Amino acid sequence: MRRFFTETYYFLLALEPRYKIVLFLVIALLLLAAVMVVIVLRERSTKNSVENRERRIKRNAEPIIQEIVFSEYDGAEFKDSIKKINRIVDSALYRRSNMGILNELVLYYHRNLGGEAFTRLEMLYREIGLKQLAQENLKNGDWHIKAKAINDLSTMRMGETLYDILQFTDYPNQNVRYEAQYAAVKLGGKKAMSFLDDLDTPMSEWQQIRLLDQSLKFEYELIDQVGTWLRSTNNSVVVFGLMIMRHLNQYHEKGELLKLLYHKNEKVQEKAIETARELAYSECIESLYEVYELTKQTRIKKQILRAFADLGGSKEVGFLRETIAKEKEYNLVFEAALSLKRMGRRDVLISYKEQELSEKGESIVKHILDDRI
Amino acid sequence: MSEKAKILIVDDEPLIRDALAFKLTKDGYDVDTAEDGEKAIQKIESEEYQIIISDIMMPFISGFELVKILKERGTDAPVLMLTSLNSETAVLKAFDLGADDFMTKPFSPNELSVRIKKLLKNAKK
Amino acid sequence: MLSIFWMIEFDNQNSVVDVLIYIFYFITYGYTVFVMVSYLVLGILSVIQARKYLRRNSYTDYLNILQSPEAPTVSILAPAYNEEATIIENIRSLLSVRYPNFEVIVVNDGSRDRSLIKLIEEYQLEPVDFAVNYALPTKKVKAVYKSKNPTYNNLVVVDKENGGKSDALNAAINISESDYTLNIDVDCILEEDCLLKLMKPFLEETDKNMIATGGVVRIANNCRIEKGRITEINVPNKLLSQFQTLEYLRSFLLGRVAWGSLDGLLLISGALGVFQKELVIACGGYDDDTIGEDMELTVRMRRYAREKDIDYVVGFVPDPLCWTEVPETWSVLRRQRNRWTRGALETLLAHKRLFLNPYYGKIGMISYPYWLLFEWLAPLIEAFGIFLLVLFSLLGVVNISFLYLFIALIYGYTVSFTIATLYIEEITFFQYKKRRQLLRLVLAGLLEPLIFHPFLVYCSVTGNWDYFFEGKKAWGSMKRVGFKKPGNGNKGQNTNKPTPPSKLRNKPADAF
Repeated sequence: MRRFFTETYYFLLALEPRYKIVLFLVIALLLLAAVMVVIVLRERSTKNSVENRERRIKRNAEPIIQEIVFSEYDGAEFKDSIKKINRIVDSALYRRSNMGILNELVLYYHRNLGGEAFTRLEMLYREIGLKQLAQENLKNGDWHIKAKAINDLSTMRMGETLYDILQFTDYPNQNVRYEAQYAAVKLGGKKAMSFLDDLDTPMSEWQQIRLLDQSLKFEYELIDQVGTWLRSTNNSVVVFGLMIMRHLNQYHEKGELLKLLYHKNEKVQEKAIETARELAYSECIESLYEVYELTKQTRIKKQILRAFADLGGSKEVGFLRETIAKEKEYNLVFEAALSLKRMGRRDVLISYKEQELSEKGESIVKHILDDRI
Repeated sequence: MSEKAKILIVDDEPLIRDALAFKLTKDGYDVDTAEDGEKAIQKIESEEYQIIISDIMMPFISGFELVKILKERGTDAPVLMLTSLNSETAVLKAFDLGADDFMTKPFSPNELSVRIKKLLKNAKK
Repeated sequence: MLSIFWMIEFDNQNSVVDVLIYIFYFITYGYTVFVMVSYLVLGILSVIQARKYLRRNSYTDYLNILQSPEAPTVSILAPAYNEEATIIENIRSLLSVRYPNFEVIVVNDGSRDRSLIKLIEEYQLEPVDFAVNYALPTKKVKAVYKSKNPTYNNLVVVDKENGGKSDALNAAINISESDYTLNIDVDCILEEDCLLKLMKPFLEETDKNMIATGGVVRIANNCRIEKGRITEINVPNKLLSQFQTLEYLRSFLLGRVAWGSLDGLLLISGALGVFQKELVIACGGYDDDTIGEDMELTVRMRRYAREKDIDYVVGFVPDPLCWTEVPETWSVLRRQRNRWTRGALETLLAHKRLFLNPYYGKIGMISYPYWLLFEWLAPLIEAFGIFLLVLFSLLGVVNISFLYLFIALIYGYTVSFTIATLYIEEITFFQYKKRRQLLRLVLAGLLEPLIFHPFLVYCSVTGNWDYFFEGKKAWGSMKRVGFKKPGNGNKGQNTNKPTPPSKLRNKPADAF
């Protein structure tokens, strides 16, 4: 036996360098593969056991949480429930992970149940220690941990943490910044939106949608900053301002809106026209004609035609009628016909004489008149 | 003596089903659950329910379809839609198809109870 | 130093032949090493990106988009040919996608079976006076149907003359009234949140114009499917499908995620991709003449955007959002891969002006050359290398021991890489829950370089041969009649007729 090994050893030693290198690499790789297989399988086992634990906790904690949310609990019963939950999540090794699972459970309930369920879940969130956990994560975690913590705290409406969160509204990492801005608005109300006044970086549509969603909760309060936003050099802020104008009926900035119809950025322009339409700002019709002439963008023209339906009168009916007959661009003919239908002027659509419309025009009118589409 | 009213809850998310079942059982109703539209129809065929609460976004047979099918079959149990969708189009569509009430998530459990009571009262008339 | 890598022992160092041999071998070995290193780099990039995505996703609430009146409009385009067996379920699962504002456009591409009749019955369809705008030229649209039932008011069914998948897609684009289109294969199973997740990159992009996004496609063989959703994820039973599972994992999870993060993605799978509709129309829609229409469109859109000076970007979502069935027999697989090779060739040749052209930035300087030299060329060099080896060993000039060692090296590397892929899959999306199934994949990984890989090389070589020498360019000599899915359905077909070519689908980014 020993001779075999010694002979092999000297054989290997005597090999040329290139053999040695390749042989070494081969053995190393195969070993690496074997080690990784073991790791993968172990990882799978761990994940499986985590999932089992998750299921167990959910199963045990669910009824208790339901009791808390749906019952008129007094102090003692509540404390009792807290103790029960604590017993479920407590564990020498896995407490943190268990708390994470519990966190998701509470958040899930909070997202689906409102009204009085909110207050009870929030009470639970505080008492069970999840709030503290989030605050710790906020201080110490990586960017995604911070972002999640902020998101959790704002979802659970932990107003008292607003000050901590505000520290992050201009954090270098964009994800954290966005979460902080959103949380600031959610917990701090419309005053917290003042960061938009001098925002240099563009705000993504995603963020706009979220902030808008929060803003809808302010209902129809007067938002003074809308004017500043409409005048901003940051186009995304302007677009957001327009969205606020439209969804929250902020009529007081109509003058500014008029100017925005001529904005160089197409997105802003389009949004402005849309807003004017939604706010029934019929005084801007003259400007709309002008813009229609000036612009080369089909999208903008479409929006204007659409706006005529809501803002216009008989003059616009005539214009639309002309457009259907003369315009070459399919989409514009379509939009014009649709607008006439919206205005309730089907009589105009069927009034075309023979040969007045192109074949395309005729089929479009037929399409519009078909109510099933 | 009054019999307990029977309620069917249709939602593809188990936690919601459980939560609603818990709450409504507490309120004194007899609660049954179904995890999708197909199972709901099966249950409705075999048992009588006084109210049906349904989600909209479910795989295969959506809440909208369920409502339409139920109304076509002549089920007179009122249907309450309970969903995350909150657009005007969704609301209109639901009522158009025959739904009797519409609530968006997150919903208040107490409000739900009140609406159920009202629907049951109206149905009895 | 270089002498280390010489495998050949030759006596007369000055012979011209020997020098040539030396050069060829240097290229072959050097090439292999370069390929292996590049996969490593891509792998590392992918892991970083996937983790970033998962972290970002850990607190993302898609409810905002679901409930927002400002959510962009999307049309799901579903071209269908002779799908009567499954079309009802497929459409039903499309209609239940979670998204606030979308329509489903089914295009019946002149099916010869009862697909359309079934649709009309099931969804209570009636023809309407739809004015079709042939913005993209297509075969004639015979009729457009909508449902009498308001529940299906976002379903549009288009009946048209047969024209092939590209033509059907173009017709659907013409009909679409949305800003974005989701292009899919109608028998793919979509995750219910797939639209929400696919639209997110568009909404999050602030600096550039995002023109398209792709997602990850996974293999549905042997998975439990209920009501149009995957309820249990399993590793396929057949060895061939297991090989493909590994291949898809590598190419999607490691390949495309990396390229996506570099904005160098040349191919968005035809099974799952969201595109800006206006742009697709502007650059001419899908090309009727190519087999690889999905890759070709992506490349063309990029070129168009660049030539119009649009500051654009193409996104990629690392999440598995779509499930598809893969061939379970070697013959069907061969046809599929043969087609993919020819499709890739077509696209590469059609856009050869990209090659090392700095005007096109990363695409021209990195993506295209990489695809050309290391994806397309790799199997050919391998085949050539094997040929040379056989030749030289017959001539007795090859050092066998070193050769074996080198082959062992490649084997070891491949296996490690596969295991690493499984590991990365574990730490990111961990979809294969059962240990035993993971072991099966490991086993398949050991066999793959010996069985599957040579087969792929063969398919690639014959694909190239067919393209260049047999003239099987477009659907060409195999008359383009449809796009039946590859799978068990083709067994026992009449083999005298040219079999309708299978759908071109999610090509893996590597021909490993």
